[in-house]
Amino acid sequence: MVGGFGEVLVLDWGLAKIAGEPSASTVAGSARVGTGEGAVLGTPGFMSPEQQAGNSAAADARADVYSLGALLERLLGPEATPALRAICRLAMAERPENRYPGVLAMSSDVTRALEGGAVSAFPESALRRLLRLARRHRIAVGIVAAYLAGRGLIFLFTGR
Amino acid sequence: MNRIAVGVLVGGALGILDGLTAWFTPEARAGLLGIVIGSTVKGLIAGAIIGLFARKVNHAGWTIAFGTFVGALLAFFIAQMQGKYYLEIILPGSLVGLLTGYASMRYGRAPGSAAALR
Repeated sequence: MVGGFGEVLVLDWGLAKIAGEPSASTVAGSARVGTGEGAVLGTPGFMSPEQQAGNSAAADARADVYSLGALLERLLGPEATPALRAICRLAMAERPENRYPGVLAMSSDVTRALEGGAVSAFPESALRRLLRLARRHRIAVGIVAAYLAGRGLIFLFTGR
Repeated sequence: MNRIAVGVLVGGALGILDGLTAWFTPEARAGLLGIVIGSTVKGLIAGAIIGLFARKVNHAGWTIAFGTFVGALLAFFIAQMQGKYYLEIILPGSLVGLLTGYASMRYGRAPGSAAALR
């Protein structure tokens, strides 16, 4: 939700799991409700596999990474870059140990992807890296290309 | 980045590139280092002059024309010192000035803009 002054408000903490608690519990409204093993709480398509299996004890920060990956995948349009799609695939890996270790790592990769930098989820070939750098520095590349093209024309017409 | 800075950066970079192309003239290869240094300095000076012009006049067409002229003029002086390779020096020098003028106007921040005041 967006507040009256344009601030972002995060709502609906009803499914939040408190990390570090000796027993799994969720906060529902103002009361704590114990989450029984086998209980499945969440939105289909955005729950991690371990949450879908009712294994709430195994759900940790990497379950949030999964959910964020699912959200990002939903938001991406058809023009999404291969790097962003790779970030989604890594975040939504079946096993938690194959995902980003936490949200900050995923956030760093997304930031780098948006800035045109290299991302950890998307190994690049030398050619692909070169093309990415050319796109990132397209102004400099364009000026140099224009100079070389002009130089080529001069050589073509003068022979020198 | 202001227009003078863009002019100096682009002029210097293209000056290096322009100097390096002397390698394709076999007779000039022996003095390649001197040519690159001279071309770089020429590019830096031209870039500063063109950037200043861009900042003062604030007109793309005039800046490009002025840049072409400055590039050609400085290149002419260099060619005059050597007494040869007039065409090989002046034409590319004009091109460097033209591109520097374009870059100064296109990518340099206009004076008095909101971004410039930050």
